[in-house]
Order: sequence, then C-alpha cells, then structure tokens
Amino acid sequence: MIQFIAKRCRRLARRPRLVLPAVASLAVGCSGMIILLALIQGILLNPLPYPDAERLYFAGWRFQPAQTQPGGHTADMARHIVEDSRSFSAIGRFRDAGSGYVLTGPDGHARSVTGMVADHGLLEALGLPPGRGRHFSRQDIDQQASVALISARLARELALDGDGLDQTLRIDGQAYQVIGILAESFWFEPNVDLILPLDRGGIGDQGHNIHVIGRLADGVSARAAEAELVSLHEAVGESAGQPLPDNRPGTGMMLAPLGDSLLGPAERPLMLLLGAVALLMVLSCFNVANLVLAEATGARGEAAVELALGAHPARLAGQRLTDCLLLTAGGLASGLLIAWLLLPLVVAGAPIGLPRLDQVGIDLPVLAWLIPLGLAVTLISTGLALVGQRSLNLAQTLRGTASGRGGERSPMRRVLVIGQVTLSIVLLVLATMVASSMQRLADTELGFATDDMLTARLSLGDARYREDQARLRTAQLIEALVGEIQAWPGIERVAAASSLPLTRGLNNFVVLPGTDRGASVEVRLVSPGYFELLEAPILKGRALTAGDRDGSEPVMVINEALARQFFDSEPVLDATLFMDGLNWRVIGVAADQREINLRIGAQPTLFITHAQAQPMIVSAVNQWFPLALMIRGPQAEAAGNRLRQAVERLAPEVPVESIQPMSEVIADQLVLERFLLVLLASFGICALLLSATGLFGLLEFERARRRREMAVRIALGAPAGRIVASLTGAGLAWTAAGLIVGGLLSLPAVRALEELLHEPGLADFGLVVTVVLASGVVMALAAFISGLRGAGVRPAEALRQE
Amino acid sequence: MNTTDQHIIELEDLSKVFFTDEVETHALSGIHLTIDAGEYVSISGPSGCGKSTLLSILGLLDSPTTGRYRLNGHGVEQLSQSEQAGIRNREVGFIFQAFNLIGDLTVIENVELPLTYRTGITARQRRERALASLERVDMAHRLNHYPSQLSGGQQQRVAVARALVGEPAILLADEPTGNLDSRNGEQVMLLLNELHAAGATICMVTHDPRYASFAERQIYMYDGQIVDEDTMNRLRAKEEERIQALLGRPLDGTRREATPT
Repeated sequence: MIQFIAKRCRRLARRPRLVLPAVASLAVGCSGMIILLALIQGILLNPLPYPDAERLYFAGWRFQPAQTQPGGHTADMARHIVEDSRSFSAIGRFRDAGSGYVLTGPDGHARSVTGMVADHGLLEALGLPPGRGRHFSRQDIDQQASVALISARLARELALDGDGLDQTLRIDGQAYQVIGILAESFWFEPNVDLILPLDRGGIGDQGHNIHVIGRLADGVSARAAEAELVSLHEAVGESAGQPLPDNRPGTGMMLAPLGDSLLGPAERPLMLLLGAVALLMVLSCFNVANLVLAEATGARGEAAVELALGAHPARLAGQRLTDCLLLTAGGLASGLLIAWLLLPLVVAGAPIGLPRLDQVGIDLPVLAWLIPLGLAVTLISTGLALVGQRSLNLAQTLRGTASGRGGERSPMRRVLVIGQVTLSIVLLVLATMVASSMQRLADTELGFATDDMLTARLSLGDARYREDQARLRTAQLIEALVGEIQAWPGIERVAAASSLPLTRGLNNFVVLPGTDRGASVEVRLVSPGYFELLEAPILKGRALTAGDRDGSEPVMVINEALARQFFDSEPVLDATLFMDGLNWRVIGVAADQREINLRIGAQPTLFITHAQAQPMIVSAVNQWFPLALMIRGPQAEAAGNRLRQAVERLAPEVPVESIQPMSEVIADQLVLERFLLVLLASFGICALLLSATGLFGLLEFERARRRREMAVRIALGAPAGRIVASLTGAGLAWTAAGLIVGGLLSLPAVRALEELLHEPGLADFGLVVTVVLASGVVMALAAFISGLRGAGVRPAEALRQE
Repeated sequence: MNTTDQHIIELEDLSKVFFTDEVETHALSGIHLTIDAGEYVSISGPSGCGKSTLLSILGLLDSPTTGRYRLNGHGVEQLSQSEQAGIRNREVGFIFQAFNLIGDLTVIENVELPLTYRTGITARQRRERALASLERVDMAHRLNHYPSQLSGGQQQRVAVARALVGEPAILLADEPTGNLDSRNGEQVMLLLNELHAAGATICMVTHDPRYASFAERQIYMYDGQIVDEDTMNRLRAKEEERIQALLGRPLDGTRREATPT
C-alpha cells in the first residue's frame, strides 16, 4: 500500500498542471471552511464552562409567541419561582448582565466595568467553584452585604495585593469588599467582570427584568420542569386574586437551555456563513473532480496498458481515490496555513456582539474537523471523477484510434462547470444582497445631522449621581461640561442626553389622562440645545430650554410617532400626558428620528430635561445608561483628548467609556453587515475565480480535444472568427446554463438570509441582475481567451502530428 | 472547377526553412514548379524529402520562407490570415492521409462544411451540392452515418466528396491511400482518375511509386529539391550502395520505406 501511494505521489509530482490548480482550489475552499469551523467551534460548540452545562436552563417569560429568547420576570414572580419550584437542584436570579459600573481600584483610577447583580443561588446553579475565596452566601444576600465577586481578568488588571481577597473597591461610589475571585474559566455573556449581591441593585418586589437560571434536578426532564413553572405561574395569579399581567395568548413560562439563550443570537449569521462556505467547498471539489477527469482522459492510454497487462478495473478506481486523497491532503494543509494566517483578521473584524471570540482559534477540536472534512472532499471529488469517467475501449485505445462518435467528450465535466457557475452565482447574489442591505442602512434617513460631531459616553454609576441627589448632580455636571466646552474654539454646539442617538434608552409608561390609553415609550433626558445640535426639526411648538427646570411646569417634547399614537388628529400642543406621578404638558413636536438603531424606524419617544425628570428616573438612567455628550463644530472631531481631560478635571469620579465621532457610532451599527459582506464577498469572488478557472480548464481540454478538428476547419477555409465562435460558444452556453440555474437557486438562498437583511425589495433585483451579468462577462472572457488560443492552431503542424 | 489553360500553381525559387532552437532545417530550397489547369501531378520521394511541406505551402496551410507563389493567378505571400482562409475555401480542396473527418458531424454535415464558411449559399443549396458531391463518390447512401461507422475507404471517399463540394481550382491530396489497404487504396486512386478525367486539377503527394504512376506527370523530390527521374534513380542507387556497405551484404529484393507522417 505504501509503495502504491508513493508511486501515485511520484506520478502527481510530475503533473504540476493537475496538482497546483487542484491544491490551490482546495486550499481556497478549505481555508474558508476551517475559519468558519473555528468560529463555530469557539462560539457555539465549545461547551459552556459549567459542569453538566446541558442541565442548566433559563426559566423565563415569553412575551410574544415567536419569541425564542426567554425574557425576565417581575421580582415577585422570580422570587416565587426560586422559592417554590422543585424541579431544580439549584436555582438563582440575576439582573442587568452587561451593565456598566464605575469601579475605583487601589490605584485611585475610576474605570467602567461590565457587571451584574445576582444571588447566591445563581452561582450555586452554575456550579463553577470560585478561583479564590468564596461565592455569595444566603446571608450576604439577606443582609445586603457590601461584598463583590470579580473576574480573574479584572483582578489582574487591578493588580490587587496578595490574592486580592478582602480588599476594598469603590463601586459606584460605595465601598465593597472582594470576597471571591471568579474561576479563570468563568464566562457569562457579555463578559461579566463584576458580580454584586442581587438586592444591591435597588430592586424591590416591584422590580422587573429579573432572570432566573436553574439546574435541573436528577430525573427531572425539561418538559416536566416547564410544566411545573406554568402551574406555578397560575397559582401565583390565583393567590393574587387577579389575572396576571402579560397573560395574553402565546405568552407564558418558557424553559430554554442556557447555551441556546446565551449563544443563540450568534447562530444564524454563523450558520449562514457556514452554508456559504460549504458551497465554496463543494465548488472546490467540482474543480478537483474536473481536473482529475481531464487528467484521467489524457492518461487513457496508460490506463489501457495497465488493464491489458491484467490490472483489475478496481485498481483504476483506487488510483483515482488515492490521487484525490493526496490532493485533498495538500489542499487541507495549504488551507490550514491560510486559515491560520487569516483567522486573527477575521476575529478582529467580527461583530462586537459575537460572544466568546476569545475562544476562537485553530485548536484540537477544530483540527479534528479536518478528518471528516478531508474524507468528504475526497469522496465527493473521487465520486464525481469516477461517475464522469468514460469506459475504456481497450482495443481502440491501445491502437490509438479511439474516436467514438463524440470523440473524448466529457458530459460530467460540463455538468461540473455548470455547477461551479451556479454555486458562484448563488454566493455572489448573497454577497450582493448583504451589500445592498448595508448600503440601504448606511443611507437611512436618520432625522438628524451627524457631521462634525464627536460623542462621549460618561459612566454616571457613582453614588453621587444616584438616589436623591441624582437629578441635581447630573444637571450640575452637564451644565459644567457644556459651559466649558462651549467656549472651545471650533466648537459650535454642545448637548447631553441620557442615551446617544441610535442607541437604546429608558422605557417608561405614559398614560393619556382621563382615558385608559397608555403605552410604553422611549424616554430621553436631554439638555437644552439638544435639538439644535442635532438639527432635528421641531415641527410644532418649541424645543426644551434652560427655563424648563426644577420647580417650573413639567413639559415635554414628543416625536411625531408618539403624537400619532396618542393624539391622531387632535391638537397636540398643550395636551397632557401622565408619567411618574406627574402631568406633563406637551410643548413641542419633533420630527421623527431613528432613536434606537439604524434598523428600527422611529419609535414613540418623549424628551424631557434632566432638571425636570424625577430623581428616581435620573438615578435609574444613570445606573443603566452612560450619559451621552455630543459636541459639534469644525474642530469637534479633533477634541477627543481635550474632552477626556476636561471630564477628568471636572468630575474625576466619572469614567469616560468611549469617545468617538458620530460617524463611527453609525459604522459600528453596520459591523454585522460588514462582517457578513466581507466574508460572503470573499467567498463569492473566490468562487467566481474558481468557476472561471474551471471553465477555462474545460475549454482548454475541449480545445486540445478538438485541435485536429480545428486544423481541418482552418484547412477548409474557416475564418478565425468562426473558430473562436465555435470554441467560445460552448463555454458561453455552459455559462448561461449556470447563470440561469444559479439565479433560480439564489431565490431560496436569499430567503434564508432575509432576516438579516434590511428592507430587501425589488431594488435589489436590478443589482443582482447586474452582478449575474458581470459574472457572465468574466466567464465569457475566460471562454473567449480559450477560443482565441484555439484559433491560433497551426493546421500544417496539427495535421502533420496526426 | 478551373479548366482553362492558365497556370493554377506557379512557384518561383521557393524555399522553406524551419528554425528549432539553434538548428536550421532546410525543408525546401529552390523550388520552381507550375501546375496547369486540368493536370494530374504526383509528387513522390523518400520520407523527409519535403513533399508534405510543399503540399502545405501549396494549400496555404504554411508559408514559404522565400520565393514567390501565385495561386490561380494571384500572389498569395502577402495575404492576411483571413484572406488566405477565403482563398483556401474557394480554390483548394484537401484530401488527407488520415481522412480528417470531424467525428461529431454526420457524413452529409462533413461534406457541407466548406460551404458553411461561404456567404450567399442557402442551407438548401448546401445540401444539394453536398448530395451531388457524395453521389460522385458513391457515398450518397451513408448521409447520416458518423465517420466512426464507416470503413477507412468509405471515410476517404467522403473526404474526397468534401474536397470536391466547393468546386476548387485544385485538389491537394496528401498520401490519400496511406491509411488504406491496397484494395481501398486502388479504389480511391480510381476515383481520382475519374475526377481528373472529368477535368479536375489534382496534385497528389505519395511515397508509393505504384500510385504515383496513376498521375500523368510525376515530380520527384529529394532533400527538399525537385529532381528529374534519372537523378532520382541515381541518388537512390547511391543510397542503396551506402547501406549495403554498412550492412556488409546485399539488400533484400523489396525496398522498404517508412510511411511518412
């Protein structure tokens, strides 16, 4: 066997025209596949770091029938679940995963860290022992102890003395004692570095968005646990003597595996890319099969001699298999090298929201994928080559006179080329759709100006900006910052808001007094000058001013969407809305903007000043959202460092989370599209080049096969144009077939992508047609070049060689 | 078919040199030749003497290195590739040793082929002329067969029909019997005789003296030059003497010569 393989190796080594394109083709497909497998393995398939993680479930609430991610409960309901459920061996609660906390370490430097609040039950359910020290105890929760758990990464960053335990950290202005360092492998999306006791979050039984995670008890199925939760929910409703809120059809208790809940959002884009790269991989296999078939056709004489000498026909199949195996090994090795080089770039360009990117790498589990991948490539390539191989007419082949009716035609090779064109068209159409979607998003009418604008996010988690003093201190900070920055040269306008435009903000419930009409709306706390800075038109009434302060009549500006929702054709100005125990007079209607992100249109939104907002609202906003500071002017985008220094000087307790131009904020919103586009376009272009190469190879094969025929035609007086047309025509026909089939197959592929696209529509059709035609031109060029070469045959020479 | 008294072929001091790497091979030198309308000429000589090279130049498949070539009264040295293709199509009919029928086309399609490269001929006219041509070679009963379904002799008859269909000024036959057994070979020669009798101008390359004798005028070539019959016999005798000296014994009665390729 070794001798046989060595012989095939030597043979392949003498055939660079087969080996180099085949290995290059496979390297392209394999590198893409390895990169995707590394992403999928690292993000989706690597087990969660918790023991028996498959028994961990989110016990959540389904707000809508189609909802796949579990939502949170009220604090009351969460407490009932934790205390009354018997389906879980351990169960706990948490809230605000991903919130920003202001932490001041031993170095006195305030920094913003990602954290959450949780109870002792959550850590017990997760089952991961602490790296050092201990987790929360029930007493810590009951007594609302000022204790904290920090991640090993944060402990290193803070350079804590000794083992880091028992040290005091100031978190949001309060002192906490570090009682435990989380295990090195601890991970909780999105990269939580700090855990505080649950009730330190300031929630009472009226709090919302409390999540529950439980570990299923031995012998209890998920279905049984979910049934128990449903009955528990009904029992709570009966004991309360009234229907539970949100008890609409299709809503209710749901149990979802923890892994699915944490990693689910990443699954769709990754699976889409996996599908795309699988197409590229199949296309590479087609190319290899085509090349092997061409080589086999050229070596028919050799095969005939072997058969004449008594070789079993299976030996020929074995030769094809071995050749494909060796070529696959070469392709995999080259692909591995390319993937190793490109993977860091792919990870760096990946959307921020993709979890566990730090675990993505070419490690043993990824390498283990190479075995089935290699086998699949080998079997597909060999299978196609064997199916396409024509049976040998031994006598004729040995006499050198084998020339059936169709000569050495190879229908399978044509099918493969058509298949290649088809697959490349599908990939290019997908890339085009993503590009089109991205362009639409980038061109979205925002409803406000973004040029010459610098933004900063300031973390106001410190206790000074919480509780009763929240409103006063926040207003003072804004006034100080705006006052100073306004005087800088090249700065024309400065304003602050509770959230940056295009980011999610506070939701609150408003009611139209005297009616039962109420709704949850976006609430933005903004400084005077906010609308002027954004150049957001006030359609009716006036904007908020410095005169709208504490003690004066509570007033609000609402957007058109909110006006439509509550007032329809009724007069809006001077109408009243009830919120947080106060009646607010509507003094203006602002034009709709994209408040939340580029994808979501204008939501009903109201704007009030910090100075008039209820202190508890300002406190909550400061806890959950960083204060957005926006400055505009010709020098604004260059004022980043000066802005940071000003904040450090005026409010050293306030960390600056980020400083970036508004254009970058918008660009960040397109990161998923850009990531998909770069990968899909790369796959599509590779596919197109592979297809063009495959077509050219087949036409070259045809040219060689028809060399004598072309010589005869030339001898009979055929003009060069006819010869070119004769050779090119076949290529164009196969290309056209591929384009048509590819176009048709693109429809279901685009449908699979639809959820990731922004407002796909008929406008895409023209773009897709353009791309298909452009691909056709590339293919036609490959065919034309081969045709030109065919017209250059010298008949005297060709016929003499006969 | 041209049957006037003018020269169909006029070659003056024609030479052909092949350059391969640093080797210079003189395939033809100082060729002067005229072939008149209605003539039946054979060109014979040993392998490598330049017969096929000369025929390729005559058929505009190759170009001379030096010298003048007039075909049917027109100088052809300065013509473009496409102009040469047009003249080839109208003035020359080729018959190859290996038949060179196109395997993907039927008999009738093969014969129609030269006409498809002409303008102003309808499909019906093409079909009629191809049928007539096939009838002349007695192959009209195999219209829809593919070349692989025919014997060698039949394939060559179809090739002759294809050469005739365009009514060329001259038929160029390169070893037309080379791939045939003697019976089929003789039939093809008889067919060429019939065509000549009907007025066709034929120039045939053959290494076989028996078939060369079918022609009314025989030209001999040796080492790229045209020689007369006596010179040819003298050169052959000298060559045989040299080989006998090398072998140290007389040659066999039958002289063997490799089939040219």
